[in-house]
Amino acid sequence: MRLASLILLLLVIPVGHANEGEARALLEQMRLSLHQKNFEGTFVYMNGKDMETMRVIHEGSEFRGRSYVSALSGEAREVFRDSTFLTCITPENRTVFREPIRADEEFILPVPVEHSALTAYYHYSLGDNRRIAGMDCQQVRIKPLDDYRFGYEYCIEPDSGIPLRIATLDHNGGVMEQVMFTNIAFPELIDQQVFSVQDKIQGFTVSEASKPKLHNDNNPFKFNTLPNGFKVNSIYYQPASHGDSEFYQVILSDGLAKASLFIASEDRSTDSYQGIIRSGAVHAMVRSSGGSVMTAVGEVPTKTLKAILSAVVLPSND
Amino acid sequence: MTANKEERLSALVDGEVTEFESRRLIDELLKNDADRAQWARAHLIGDAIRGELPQTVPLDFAASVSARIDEEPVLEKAATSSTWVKPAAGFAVAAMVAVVSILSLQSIVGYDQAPAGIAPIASSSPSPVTPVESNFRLASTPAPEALKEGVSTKEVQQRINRYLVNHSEFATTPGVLPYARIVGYEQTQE
Repeated sequence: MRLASLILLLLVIPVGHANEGEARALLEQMRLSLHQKNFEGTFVYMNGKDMETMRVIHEGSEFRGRSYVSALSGEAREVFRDSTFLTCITPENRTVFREPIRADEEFILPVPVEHSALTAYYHYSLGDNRRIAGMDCQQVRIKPLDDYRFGYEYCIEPDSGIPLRIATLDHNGGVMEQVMFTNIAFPELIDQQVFSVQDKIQGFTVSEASKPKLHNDNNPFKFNTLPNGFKVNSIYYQPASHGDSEFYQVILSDGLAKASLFIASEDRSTDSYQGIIRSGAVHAMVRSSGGSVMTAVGEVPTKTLKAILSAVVLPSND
Repeated sequence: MTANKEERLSALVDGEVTEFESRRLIDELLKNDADRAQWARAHLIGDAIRGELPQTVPLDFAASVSARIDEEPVLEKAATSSTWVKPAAGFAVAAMVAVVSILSLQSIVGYDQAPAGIAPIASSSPSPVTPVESNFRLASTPAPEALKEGVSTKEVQQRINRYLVNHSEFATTPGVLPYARIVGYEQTQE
């Protein structure tokens, strides 16, 4: 009996490890491909029971490339992302909002996720092979091991590394939101006309945020106990300019999921809102303390945002 | 739009209504912009799922769809033809029903429903903070009851939306998903 168990272990454990290792390798391939490959296609975005058809064009580059996403039904909202701005166009009220890309992210790829160091918080596995948008893809699952984080499910086309399906799952495995391609192509060249943002926004009212500055060397904020695995990654300071208020942004992460804590001076004439906002799998929670209003935002459960808001210690005014 | 009407429109998309009912629903669609937008959305999703959208969609596609649904013959043809809408029947029904249920899924949780321990926000002194001037509103962020009244409405919405856009650069899965959240259509309560 013992021999049988040993044989079984020898057979099963390496397979399990190989399975996890292959899942992590596919995730790393996906991370690079989403930045570096050219792809163009139509997908359905499902947010709860809401569905919308959209188009994406991505021009890959050595760094992060350029992206364009537009709604194909309803108002023709568009988002452009290049190395300088994330530009959001809302044609219904002819406005444009531009968020500058951080200087430290312009010419680098995002830091690789150290999936092998996250086994205390997530379980990685391969699922079935599926067929989506006429292409074969391999399912990869990331299951959270506690309720401080969400799970993820991808179906990755193995040749390109592009996920044909992306789903964010709650702690119980329920799908909160997902993207699924209905057709996709990998052209060698991308039509440059699509990125001609200036042509599209003639006559629009443009609002532009100031550029955030990395502030890691002088962290004015301390944290008590954070949710298990979460720690401060970086801090940015965004100066006031052109009617834009100044604020600090603290990025916290467990190595995979990220949350931002925005800290601004409290505007007592307007800061009467309290509660939680949800946009897909992204939640935002607000609290105030000591003359500051703090907004925690992240692709994490509200429990995690609450813990972050409770843990932050603001500098004294002395 | 009532749930009953959504079910009837879903049945119309599926080609599962009588000719008389079909004509009656089309008459209603032609009179109601919201119904027509919902109709177009359901069909577009169906087209996408069946792979019937062109590989390269023109840049003015959304505008051209809006223009097309203004053409009565197109609607009539779609309503009376059950062959090409059939494969997406289940999906189309789900799309119709979503109009009602999405509001509860996306709604703001009131402060008293929020997890305990979050302090109330006071409001009584002049402010050094002026939110960035932006009318951009994250698409799937609801228009919460808490923000509909008072001087804080626009400013607070702008600030939170701006933070949500800012944080999209830190999404777990880069690229498609965070930008889809931004361009998704805005819900309006009827």
